[in-house]
Amino acid sequence: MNTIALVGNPNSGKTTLFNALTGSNQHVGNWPGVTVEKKEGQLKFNGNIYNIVDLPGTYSLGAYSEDEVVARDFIIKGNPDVVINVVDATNIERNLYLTTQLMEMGTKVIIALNMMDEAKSKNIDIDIEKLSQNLGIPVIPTIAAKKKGIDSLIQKAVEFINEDIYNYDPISYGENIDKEIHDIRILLKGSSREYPNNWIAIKALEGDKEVLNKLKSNELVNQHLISLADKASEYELEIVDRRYNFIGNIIHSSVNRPTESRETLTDKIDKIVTNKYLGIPIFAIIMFVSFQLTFVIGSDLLGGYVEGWIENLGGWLSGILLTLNTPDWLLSFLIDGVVGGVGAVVVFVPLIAVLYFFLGILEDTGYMARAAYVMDGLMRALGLHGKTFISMIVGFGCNVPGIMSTRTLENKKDRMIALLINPFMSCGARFPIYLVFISAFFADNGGIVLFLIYGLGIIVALVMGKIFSKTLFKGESSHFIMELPPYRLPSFRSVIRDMWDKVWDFLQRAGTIIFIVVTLLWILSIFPLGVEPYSQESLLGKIGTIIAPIFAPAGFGTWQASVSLFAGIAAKEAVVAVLGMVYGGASEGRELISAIQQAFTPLAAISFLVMTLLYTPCAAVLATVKKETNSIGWTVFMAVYPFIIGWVGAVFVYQVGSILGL
Amino acid sequence: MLKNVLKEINESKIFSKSSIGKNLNISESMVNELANQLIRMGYLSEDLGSPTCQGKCSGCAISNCKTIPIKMISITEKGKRVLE
Repeated sequence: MNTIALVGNPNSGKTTLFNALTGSNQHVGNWPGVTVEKKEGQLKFNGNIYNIVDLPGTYSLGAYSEDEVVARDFIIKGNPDVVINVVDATNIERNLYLTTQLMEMGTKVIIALNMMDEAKSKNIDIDIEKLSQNLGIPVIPTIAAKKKGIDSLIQKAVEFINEDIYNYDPISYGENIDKEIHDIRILLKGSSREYPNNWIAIKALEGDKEVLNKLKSNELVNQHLISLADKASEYELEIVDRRYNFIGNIIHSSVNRPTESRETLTDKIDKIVTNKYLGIPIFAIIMFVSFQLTFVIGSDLLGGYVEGWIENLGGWLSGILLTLNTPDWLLSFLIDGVVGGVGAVVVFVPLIAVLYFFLGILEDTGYMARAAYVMDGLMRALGLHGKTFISMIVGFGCNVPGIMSTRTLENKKDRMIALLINPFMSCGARFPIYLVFISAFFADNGGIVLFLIYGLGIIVALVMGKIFSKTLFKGESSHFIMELPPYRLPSFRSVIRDMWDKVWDFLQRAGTIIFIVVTLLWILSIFPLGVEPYSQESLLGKIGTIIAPIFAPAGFGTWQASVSLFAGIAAKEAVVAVLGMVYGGASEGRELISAIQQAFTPLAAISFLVMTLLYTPCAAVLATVKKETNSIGWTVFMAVYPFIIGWVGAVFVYQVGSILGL
Repeated sequence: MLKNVLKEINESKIFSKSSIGKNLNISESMVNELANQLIRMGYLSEDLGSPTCQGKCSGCAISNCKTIPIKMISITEKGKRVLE
């Protein structure tokens, strides 16, 4: 029984063609010694039966993967009577590379030029006759998915089985390499090989590891190849290059495709948004507009709804509990603790949702990749790796994945710097803190203040990165370039889904971690028994009173502010939750804001915002740093140094502001 | 062609198929194929920015975060040796 092998690139329609040829007469197994799937089937044609073997999809016949080795071994050792090379007509450059390697092997091959309908729809016009003539290989146009051209293909394959003539000329790899191929062939003469000598010579010069291993037993060839070691890369590139030149010439004379627009709309937009001078200002304006819209839509239009719901929930729950004669301690826990604490955070959900909506749009359009690119120049100027900014962008959502994404930095120096500066990126959990204070003191300029806070985080991160690259981690950063995705209209569904995922995650955290923190702090607030809950005499108040002097130079040396910052190390959302609790009864957004207006001055509020932006990251981030660095030392460093930076920053703002009479 | 594409990538800040194609007078699809070939041969390496966010990571607070769609290409040591 004659055997016909099918070979082609992944997604070239090879398996569809196999199914069209064999119908239900097929079985699946494994190639010996490997886990690569082997598919065989039978084709009945003109009263004869042919064995059809579907080889693994592969781009080349090197030794880069198991699939490639299986395919080339079968073509050479399995002795198929004819090989059908399935070529995707819409991606002919890539697919013909495999064809050139089949030609090098001296394989009896015919081409099934598949997906002709798709090529036509893309206005790719292929002169089949010329293509066949240039390659010296029969080319049969097919549409395997519609079973078109299959009969002609089978007819040609069957005819070709009995033909001995190979019409194609060998590819020339240039004078030097052709001579080397010739020399190696002479050295191989007489030795019994399972592969053709010409192919072995090409593969040896190309640095094919499997072929080189097999040649180790041939002293003469081995010595000759060792003498060429200096030229290994040059020869490897030259051989592959010659194949592409060969393909390029064939495509040039037999394929006519629509002229590619050299400057797309994406290119035109990128000329402006990634401009050396305009890129960063445009990025700043876009972020500012996003923050401003967040306030206009999230606070002015939507903010009142959730606030009203929390207020009604508190009133309703309080009424029910009083009706049921609930003990005072439980009433205090549920109303002041849970509703006051968790509610103080949840009330900002509309703003968070709107911010994530805008960030989602920026990401979905492809702009965020441009933001990373425009910052790349600045990062390099500061001695930082451009990829650092990508981990910083991820850190805007949460510093935990931000730190994890530094894994893409291969260089330890780059990675450690990116990891250490990531917590200065303002994560979503800090957002409610900013909102409370902005609403209390800077409601008319919310967008500007928020923009400045985020900007300050980026600046501090870059400055610290520069300091680290000059002190702790010296050395050169590695170079990389980005491929920017084309701009596209954002998918409303995708943006909404992403926004919802993040809001839901925020609500889950409010319902779990914040609830636990609130419960623990509530316990501290009612002991010793008999004291006024949430008073300075409670255990919570006493802890806060001990910490408070540290923050006095920063203008917020109250026990309430100190306790809230302390709780923020467990989870940043807890800062607002604790403020909601300790300013007793300030469960609803408006009441909390009023309490804060009385407890802070505008200058102290700015100082507090600087502190919360920069100080010790939350426990989840510290745990991640421990996991990623496997070092308690770096984890402690990560806990301590941002605290010092935050404290110095807050004190600086407050003291300078005081001197200036702010 | 391969070495020229490698040189162009080395001298660029953005991997732009259209601009490389224009400079080398080859089609964008050929640039794409040559770059992929350089990756397969180990002269270039690529990563997609944030592999850690492709699945749920233990300990990640926002396990559903998006992968940032930024493909990054670096020239490997093997590639650098060719450019020397």
